[in-house]
Amino acid sequence: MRRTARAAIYAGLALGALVMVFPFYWMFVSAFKTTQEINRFPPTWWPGSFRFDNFVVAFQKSPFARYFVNSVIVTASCVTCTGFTTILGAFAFSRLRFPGREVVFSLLLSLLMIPFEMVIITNYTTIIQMGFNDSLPALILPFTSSIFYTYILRNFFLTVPDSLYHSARVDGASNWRFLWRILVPMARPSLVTIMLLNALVSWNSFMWPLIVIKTTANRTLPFGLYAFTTESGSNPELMMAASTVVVLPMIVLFLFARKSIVNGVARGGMKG
Amino acid sequence: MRVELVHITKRFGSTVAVDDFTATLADGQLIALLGPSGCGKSTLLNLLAGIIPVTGGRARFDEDDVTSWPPERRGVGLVFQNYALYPHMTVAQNISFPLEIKKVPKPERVRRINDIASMARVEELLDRRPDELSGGQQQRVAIARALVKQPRLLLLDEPLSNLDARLRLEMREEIRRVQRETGVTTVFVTHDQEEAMSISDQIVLMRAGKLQQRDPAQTLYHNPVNRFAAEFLGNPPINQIKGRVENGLFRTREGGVGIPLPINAACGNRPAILAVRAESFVLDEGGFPCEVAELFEIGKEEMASLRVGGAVVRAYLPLEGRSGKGDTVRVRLKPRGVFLFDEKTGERL
Ligand SMILES: Nc1ncnc2c1ncn2[C@@H]1O[C@H](COP(=O)(O)OP(=O)(O)OP(=O)(O)O)[C@@H](O)[C@H]1O
Ligand SMILES: [Mg+2]
Repeated sequence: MRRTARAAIYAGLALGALVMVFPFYWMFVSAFKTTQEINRFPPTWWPGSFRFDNFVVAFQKSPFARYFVNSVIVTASCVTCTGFTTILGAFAFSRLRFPGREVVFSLLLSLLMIPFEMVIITNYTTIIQMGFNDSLPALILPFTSSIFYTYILRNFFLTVPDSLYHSARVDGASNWRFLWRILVPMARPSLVTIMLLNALVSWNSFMWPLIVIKTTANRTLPFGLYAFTTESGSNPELMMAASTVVVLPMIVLFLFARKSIVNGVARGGMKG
Repeated sequence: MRVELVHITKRFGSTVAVDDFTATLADGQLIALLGPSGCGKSTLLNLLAGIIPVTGGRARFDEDDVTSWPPERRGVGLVFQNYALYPHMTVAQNISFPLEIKKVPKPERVRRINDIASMARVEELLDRRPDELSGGQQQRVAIARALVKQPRLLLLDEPLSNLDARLRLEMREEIRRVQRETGVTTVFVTHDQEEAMSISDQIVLMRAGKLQQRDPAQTLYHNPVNRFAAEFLGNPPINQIKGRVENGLFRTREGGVGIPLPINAACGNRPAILAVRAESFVLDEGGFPCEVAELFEIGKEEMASLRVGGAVVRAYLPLEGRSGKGDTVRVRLKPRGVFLFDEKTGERL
């Protein structure tokens, strides 16, 4: 009885995994097919021969290398800045005592209710006034802090016992030292998770670049891919090759970070 | 370093955790801060470390008024009840942390870590992380970390409370040894009177945020200023009999025999408490009579419960083989370990 139940659960999970993974698989194998093969019916599950030329052609038709570099710059900048402000904010809202701390924090939290789409116009006019329209800073500046991540990290910081803070202060550490030498290393699993989510959102960001970027050379990958669908004509295999380039870095990043998250969770904990 | 506390007060909202505390702690001594749970010991320690600000009063370290100094300026070493080791660092990194912050150069750092590690006997543990250590090992690491920066003052907040009885005894000796070797002025918080008596040069006795008495253990034991001090020290607890003094005799409240007092008691006729330590009874044919209620042996000691008037007291008496339960024996009181307290105020009479 229990065994059949278990089997049913695993079957369900396997099915779910398959549904999730299949589009990626299809994208990946299609990226290596020839035009004839991709239009064949019934479709083939595995390319007859691997055609790496698809990538070369795609990169020639559209400046994907440029898009890629832009995406890397934007994502790295956003993640770095957001990470930095998140850490400082979380520390201030968990450890420092200043008048109005709770009120300010509640106000910030209530801002979470406002969807990004609502402030797009405000952000757009701000960016134009700052003179950053149609440039990479326009893609970075609005995303250099996050209330949500600050909230998550603050909650972690609150679980760190006061005695560690006091101990560090008595050991001669300033607030700044305590933050970077004790709190941040202890929060590594949370931080990695936060930065990963942040990287993903930033990497996949589409709407905002579409609005502020005009010049081809300043496009990021998702925008570039979107443009490519019209520019490439109807060549699905080139589309798939380009999509693979967009998706692959995030998958690799996840695989690396996963290890770090698991390691981090196993550490920590204090006896006594 | 000499520590001077002058009218130190700390309030948390309406609770007064430390109340007008004035005391001087002499240089190089090991001082036990003793008192029941919640009497403000940890608060006082945190005030000394500068972790929390005082509500009123001044603190002086030697000539410096440190009242408003932040913790990092005070040069104190602090060991918390839960040790507060940094969980993501190895033992060596933990001990090294205060030195790194002081920007001690690497070679000297390594030398000092090794020195202190061998003194605290944690050399073999240097590469482990705190979660791979036993309670006693964590404590030694915490002490090593507190001492490595050569603090002017070492503060220990109930460092032994997480350890089992044997380890406690052992670590007690360790702390004493380390303190002697370094000569650092040390304040050791405990609510265990025996611990305080066995390791300290001075005991500072606290109750409800107030200083009761500051004296060496023996003085405190033999010359308590009030009933609380007499009660708090000594095992078995001091015997207490309610009554009043009449013509040099102590009459229990229930009446009965008068107990001849070996001490001068000019206290009029007010209600008083006669407190007698268990070792202050001696058998004496000329003494007052009491009935043996029970006989015990505790280790090598013989102890008897005696009925005196309506009260029952415990006394160390060599009755084995001479008297049994129900017999009447005659005893007198030694002058040492006998005190009279005002029943209302608890003050010594
Ligand atoms: N941060 C705080 N906020 C409010 N009240 C506090 C705070 N810290 C301590 N107190 C109160 O101050 C009093 C003294 O506390 P303290 O921790 O100094 O006692 P203690 O002598 O160390 O007790 P224990 O032996 O149980 O550790 C207690 O009544 C406690 O409730
Ligand atoms: Mg305490």
